[in-house]
Amino acid sequence: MSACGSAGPRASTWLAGPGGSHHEAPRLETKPVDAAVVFRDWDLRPNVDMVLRALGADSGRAGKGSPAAVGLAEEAVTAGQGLLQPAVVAASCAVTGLRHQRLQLEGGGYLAGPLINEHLYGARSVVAAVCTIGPALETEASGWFARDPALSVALDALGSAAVDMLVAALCQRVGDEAVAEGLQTTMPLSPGLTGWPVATGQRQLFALVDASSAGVTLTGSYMMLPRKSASLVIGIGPQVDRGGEPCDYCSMAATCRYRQRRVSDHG
Amino acid sequence: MPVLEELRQAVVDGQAKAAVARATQGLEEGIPAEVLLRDGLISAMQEVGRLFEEGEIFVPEMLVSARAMNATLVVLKPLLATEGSEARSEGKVVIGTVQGDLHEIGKNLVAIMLEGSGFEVVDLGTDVSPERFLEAAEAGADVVAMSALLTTTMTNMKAVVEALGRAGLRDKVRIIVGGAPITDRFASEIGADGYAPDASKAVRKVRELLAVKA
Ligand code: B1M
Repeated sequence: MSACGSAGPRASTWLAGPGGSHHEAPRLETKPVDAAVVFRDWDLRPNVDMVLRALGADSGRAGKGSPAAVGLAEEAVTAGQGLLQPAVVAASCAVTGLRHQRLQLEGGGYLAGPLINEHLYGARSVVAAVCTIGPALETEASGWFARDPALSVALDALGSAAVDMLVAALCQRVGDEAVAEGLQTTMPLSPGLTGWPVATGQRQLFALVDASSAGVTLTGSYMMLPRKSASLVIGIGPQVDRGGEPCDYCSMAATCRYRQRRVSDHG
Repeated sequence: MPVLEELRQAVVDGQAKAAVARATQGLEEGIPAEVLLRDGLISAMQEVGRLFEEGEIFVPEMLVSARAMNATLVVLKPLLATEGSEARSEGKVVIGTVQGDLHEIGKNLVAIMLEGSGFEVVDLGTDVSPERFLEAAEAGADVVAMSALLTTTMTNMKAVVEALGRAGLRDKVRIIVGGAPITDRFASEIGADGYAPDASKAVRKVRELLAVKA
């Protein structure tokens, strides 16, 4: 197990690292992972368009679906919003070296794979995080399947939209704090993207954060429970690779209905 | 018969109340429940599948259509039983998410579309072991349908194909697989009979495998 620092609630605490920023980012005290901080202060409000998009509606057309489809998404937002229990557990780990596609971290943990090599080579530290919206919404969604399958699926989509929002909010928070320190952040890297397989990536990442403190566990086949959870790392440094976005590294990039399109991509 | 066409259109538009009203009207006009089912509901769901495949509509629209169909079925089912036409099914499909995988929504969508198209669906849920798939297939199934979300769990599909083979069921039961990481190639590698990238194509593939006329 690693001994990364828990990423604390103050701005500079994401920025663990052996110095190097021109602001000289404060070094985090190395703490055991069981001291990880769980952030629960997220105000997630996925809207009808987001639910329709998570249901695979064409993003250029979301909100313009049939009245009945929009009504279904509205029902899901009303029924599901109160069931969101967002939590993020994060650890900030200083980088001690990168060799043979393996990013060595202070405390003995590491991240390895072509994707890591490609994006984290300039990082002084990484934030490893597990995000979840908790079990309540998915339990509700499953419960509706026998009675109203359409609402069940729409509630599930609300959950997917909420996790996406949570990941985006986390990236924003880490990014803002980095910028305030004169640093940059990489795109979020998740196990399962091309170049970082689910099994190896989840093993490496779950060794850095105590996900159970946010109620997330990993099954024998590397699936996170609650299902509506995501795991990621973000590299931080004075000059890191800032290119790309996760969708570029997805095996389904060419065909995905859920792809987050850049504004310029909208036709 | 305009009422049949109106019923069909109400289901395509996902208008549950209108669909129930048209079905009730149809019954009052003396149209047999079986005709309302076949030429109204099932025909509507086939149209929905076609529109989905052509990119005219998306999953949300498909869902509200299925919802309108289900609401109408509540009215028709008791009468179908009386007419003795309830048992008419296009085939029996045993569906589940494979062992180690708890993702259910893709599998659920496939089940909704299969049911909407007139198949009898036995839903085994998620994290289904090869033994449970086998048991359900032995109880009498035409198709075994497996779903998976991750590359770490899709590998468990092969064990089900092998279990069906060992039990001598491979000639009697067709196997279809799907889910985000699955490809046609993976399906052939594990010895499945077919793969479908979405729920609507899954219905088409099952029909094709059973040579059921669409
Ligand atoms: C029997 O015959 C058939 C025939 C057709 C069949 C069938 C059976 N079963 C399904 N189908 C087909 O028909 C259905 C309806 O049309 C479809 O079913 P689906 O289940 O695919 O579709 C659902 C109705 C809606 N679709 C979805 O819910 C999945 C959509 C995508 C974008 C997606 C989403 C939204 C999410 N995810 Co993630 N996610 C992706 C997906 C990429 C994509 N384009 O599909 C996929 C599945 N995810 C992936 C990954 C890696 C992950 N996800 C994760 C998390 C998430 C969110 C929580 C953010 C969110 C919700 C996930 C959920 N399970 O509810 C993580 C795992 C979650 C966990 N619990 O462990 C995580 C591991 C990432 C991480 N490290 O956090 C990839 C899996 C590939 C792999 N490498 O294993 C992925 C393909 C994207 C990618 N390439 O990166 C078809 O596949």
